Amino acid sequence: MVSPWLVGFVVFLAGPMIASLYFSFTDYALLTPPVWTGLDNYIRMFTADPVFWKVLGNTTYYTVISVGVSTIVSIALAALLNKPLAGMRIYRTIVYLPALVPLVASAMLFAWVLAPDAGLINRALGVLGITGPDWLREEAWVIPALILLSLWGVGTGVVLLLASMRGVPKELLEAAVIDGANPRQRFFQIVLPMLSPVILFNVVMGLIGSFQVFGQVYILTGGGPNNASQMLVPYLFEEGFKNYRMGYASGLSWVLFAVIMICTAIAFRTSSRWVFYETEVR
Amino acid sequence: MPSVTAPRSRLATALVGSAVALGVLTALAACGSGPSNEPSKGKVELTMSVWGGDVDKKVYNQRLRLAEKEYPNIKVRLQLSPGGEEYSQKISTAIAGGKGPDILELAEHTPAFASKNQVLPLDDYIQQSKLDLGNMFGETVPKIFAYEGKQYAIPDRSGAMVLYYNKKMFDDAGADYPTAEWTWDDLLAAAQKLTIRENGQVKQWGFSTISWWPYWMTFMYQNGGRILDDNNRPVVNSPENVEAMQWYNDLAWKHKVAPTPRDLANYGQGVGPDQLFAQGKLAMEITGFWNIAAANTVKGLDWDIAPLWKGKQPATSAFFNGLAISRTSKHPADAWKVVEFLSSAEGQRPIIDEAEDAPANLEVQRSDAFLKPKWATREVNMGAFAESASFIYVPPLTPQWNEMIKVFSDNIEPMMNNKATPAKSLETIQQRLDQVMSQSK
Repeated sequence: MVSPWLVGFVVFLAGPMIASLYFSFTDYALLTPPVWTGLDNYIRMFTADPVFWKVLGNTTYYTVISVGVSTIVSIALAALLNKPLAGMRIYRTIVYLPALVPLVASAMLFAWVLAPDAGLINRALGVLGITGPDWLREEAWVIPALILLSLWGVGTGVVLLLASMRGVPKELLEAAVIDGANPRQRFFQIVLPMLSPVILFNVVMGLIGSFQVFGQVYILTGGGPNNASQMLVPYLFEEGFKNYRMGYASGLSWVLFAVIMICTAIAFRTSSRWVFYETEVR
Repeated sequence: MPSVTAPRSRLATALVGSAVALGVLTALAACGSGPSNEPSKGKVELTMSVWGGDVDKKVYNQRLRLAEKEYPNIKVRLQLSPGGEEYSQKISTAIAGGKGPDILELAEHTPAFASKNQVLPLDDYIQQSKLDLGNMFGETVPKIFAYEGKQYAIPDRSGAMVLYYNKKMFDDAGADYPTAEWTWDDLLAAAQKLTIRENGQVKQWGFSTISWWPYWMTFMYQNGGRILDDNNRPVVNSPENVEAMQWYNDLAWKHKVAPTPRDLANYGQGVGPDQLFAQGKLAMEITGFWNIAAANTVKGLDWDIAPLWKGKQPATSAFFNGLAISRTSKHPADAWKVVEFLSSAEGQRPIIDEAEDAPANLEVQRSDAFLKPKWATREVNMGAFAESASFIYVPPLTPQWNEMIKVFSDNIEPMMNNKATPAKSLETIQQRLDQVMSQSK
């Protein structure tokens, strides 16, 4: 019964993974056979490649801020969408809709939204008397611009949070009202802990996804200006397929794997302190 | 939670998956039978890989049918791919797997393919067929497809970058039309006359500078500079180059006759000089043959072309594609017959008739069919292409070309955004290129 799955696993996952681990210790130009070079790729990565550290820094910066802000924004949106208002289904649809727009389309759209003088954002800032930056062409602003684009897709997280919010038992909230808790306390003391498993899920998926950000960078900035928005996956893609350094690219992908493993492990390790599982209490 | 992220497993699997497939296939390929150096007597079926769109497909097929008429025992199947990196990846994986095409189109990647022994040197064939490449294509263009003294591809389509100008704007401004005798001063003077501002807003730009290498590098070569010396050592930060880049950058920032990157971005994603020219917002632009079809179809656009001005010396870049024969071809001698035919005047003719591109063969570029094309809706100075052929410069093509391009754009963009001085940018490029070139074995 398990064999079709096993074949798929070996051929499409385990095999390629082992092969890429092997290639990461070789000089492999894609067109010529790989030559074993031991740790050379990793040594070059950590000591001789100035772009690698910049890329790792960029990716971490993007991931931390984008996951952090997305988490807060999605909780806030879910709380708003949980209010018993007329037409709420329409609002919910509107919030989720952007998540359905294909990545390429939303990236192209954002090229317009972020245009220096004609763009929506800078026009809005202009109304407030602020001269907006040239988002995609200034080294300091290009990652914040990509983070803005990532917020565009919070809808998926909101839907999960909303579902879980509606599952918070009424009797808990009623009991809190009787005990004299105000709405703020009810939210932070009851609703939020009940949501924490979903938040953990969103954070972990967000970490994994953000570390592997590719399409936005590829379409909007190409990693520029001056590598200010270059991230790990576009960088390894470029090294492997444009610069014919598949060995080095394989090494980069294993470093990326390690970084994601470590961050996910940290999220899970600390989760015992902030994630509340109802089932563990009962 | 961001939902717009990389298709994680797909990319990773594609990456390593193709890597594994490559390894296995390379091993298998080693067991194949050796190719024959004699033209076949019986029926032969060849494949040819090119990139492009519908017009390219149509023209290549027309040309191949002509070749098949010439050599009835040969059939050539055309494989068309999208252009750019995708093409290069697809072909290199196929060749590494022993399943490469017999004939393939190459451009800037020729040295990369040649240095990795993926395409055959053609010198012996050229000698046997007594082809005089310099005579056929000019002295420079064949060198674009040479690597370490050997010829790896035969030029197929190629044409100089020329100056497109809007005649009506010149007439309105009372400026003389551009010629090859223009100097940089003439260019600047004309651009100043042709830039029109209304209420502080630019209504019409005189010229346009962009960070694409055929633009700025041309000014370096015109100023007597270059990128690599004869031993492939970078010489980017030379005084000639710094001076050229200062002048180039001043067009946008000091004289304000060309849009800055910020100005250009305000016109929308993907809008460049070609689009501004077609919209009647730009008086002069450097571009290639491909823009003719677009300009030809804009109603009311009164335009013509001319060779570029000169600096200390005349220089222009060219766009180019050549045809090569892959190492894995089982019938290289037959493939050569097809390549030779496609480079002949007869084999190149459909390129003109469909307005696909400029044919590389100069005899064809000078023929009436090219100079007075039947598709043209107006009189165009088509002679500008052949006139420019003598001063085309060979870009610093090396197997590391892609990396070099990245180093250029990383540093030319900040310069063009006025965030770094030309001297500083070129200094950084020099250092980075030193690294890139020394990493190559």
